[in-house]
Amino acid sequence: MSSVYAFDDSTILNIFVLDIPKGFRYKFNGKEKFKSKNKKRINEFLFKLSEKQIMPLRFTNEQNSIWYPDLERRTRKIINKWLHPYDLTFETVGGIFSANIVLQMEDFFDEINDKFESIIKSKEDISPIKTFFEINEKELTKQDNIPEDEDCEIILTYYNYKAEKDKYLISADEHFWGYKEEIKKEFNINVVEEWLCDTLTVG
Amino acid sequence: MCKLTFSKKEAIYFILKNSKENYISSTTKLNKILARLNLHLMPINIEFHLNKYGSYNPELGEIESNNLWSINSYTTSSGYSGKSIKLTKEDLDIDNKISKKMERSFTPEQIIEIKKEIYSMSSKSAKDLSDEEHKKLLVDIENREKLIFRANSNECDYLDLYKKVKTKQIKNFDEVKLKGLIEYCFELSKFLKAKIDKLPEDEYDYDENMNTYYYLKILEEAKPFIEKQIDSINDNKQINLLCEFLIRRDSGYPFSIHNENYKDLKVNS
Repeated sequence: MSSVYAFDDSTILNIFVLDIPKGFRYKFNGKEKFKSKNKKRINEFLFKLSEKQIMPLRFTNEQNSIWYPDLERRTRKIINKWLHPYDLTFETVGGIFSANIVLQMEDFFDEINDKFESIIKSKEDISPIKTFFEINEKELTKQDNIPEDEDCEIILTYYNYKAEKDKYLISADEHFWGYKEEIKKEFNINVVEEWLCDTLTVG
Repeated sequence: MCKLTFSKKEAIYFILKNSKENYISSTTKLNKILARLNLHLMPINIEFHLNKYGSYNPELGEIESNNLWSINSYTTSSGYSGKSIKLTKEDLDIDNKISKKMERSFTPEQIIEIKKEIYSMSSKSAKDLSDEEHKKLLVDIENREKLIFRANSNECDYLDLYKKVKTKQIKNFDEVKLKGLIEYCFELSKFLKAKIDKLPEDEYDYDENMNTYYYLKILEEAKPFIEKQIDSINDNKQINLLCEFLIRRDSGYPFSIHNENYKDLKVNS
């Protein structure tokens, strides 16, 4: 039996590569692709998992569709980060380009569904989790101090997930890594910062 | 290549898999079946050309035997030589890829219809298919004035649709795709109108213009569907298919996001 490794969707989005069609490259000084700086590290770690035949986990909504509001929000966030240096946003870059992004993302998540095991997010009451973070509130640098409802749903879902060995959660979200000691102690989940995942020993 | 677009290998495999006895008696017939898939807007990564009769000719090149199918050369008693194709092996991996693409683009009923059509076409002679083809694939070569009228009215209709969505609050990614599709159709309708306006009066260049007529036909046929979706999206698969066929597929047509001069081809309103 091996440990289990879950990725939050923001980290999964960081392995997505957006191809810029030739007709739009003039908007981005001839750039051909957008990708996240941690992509290589995450892929290296995923490769390690596949070598050991370990299926990574991801958290999804029950509905039978690629998109749900939180994933759309996270997608806009990453796209806006890429477009920001060009004074553009998902909303201002143009309808055809935005539609093309969504279509490429759908291809991407189609592949992800084959490569990751989905855990349906729990619909149970998350208020105890929320309260836990309120009691143990910390000063975060990049985010609001208290994790969002979607983050609490992930914690609750993963906490309830049955695993023989250790549970790891790979994330770039400060709501997780900012509370890594507390999460480990209370929920027995090992949070690993996304940019350090390639240093993890798999087993 | 885009994910929904079929590779040449996948398209031929799909046809053989659904043909009578997994067999196609000639490459001419294979061409005709591939061309017919275009009527379903099934995006295939093969360049198609339209001839002056409005028939598609796929640029298949030389097809050779491989691990999935075998090619047999034959010569008939009347001296006609040709090549038949027989599926020799089923491949689960390709089957899965094809199923995924089909399911993202078509309803289960549409998939059954396409498979039935392939089966039926594979049972007919190339001559029968040719007669059918001209009825089904023919793009009417109408007089210049009528074409200009159609292109004008098509542009006006898409302008109306574009105005409707331009200021509409976008609630989710399905609506992002629809808005992008309408914007593209509007831009394409302007391009087509400009192109048809410039048609020479004294000569008629079929090779140059048949794609223009074909896209005009697709836009006209797609309009009622797109209009219905503005108030409430109820057919995401058809939207995916139109996006794939019109926007993402690299068809070789100049007005394409894959053309680096795309922005210069846009026509100002």
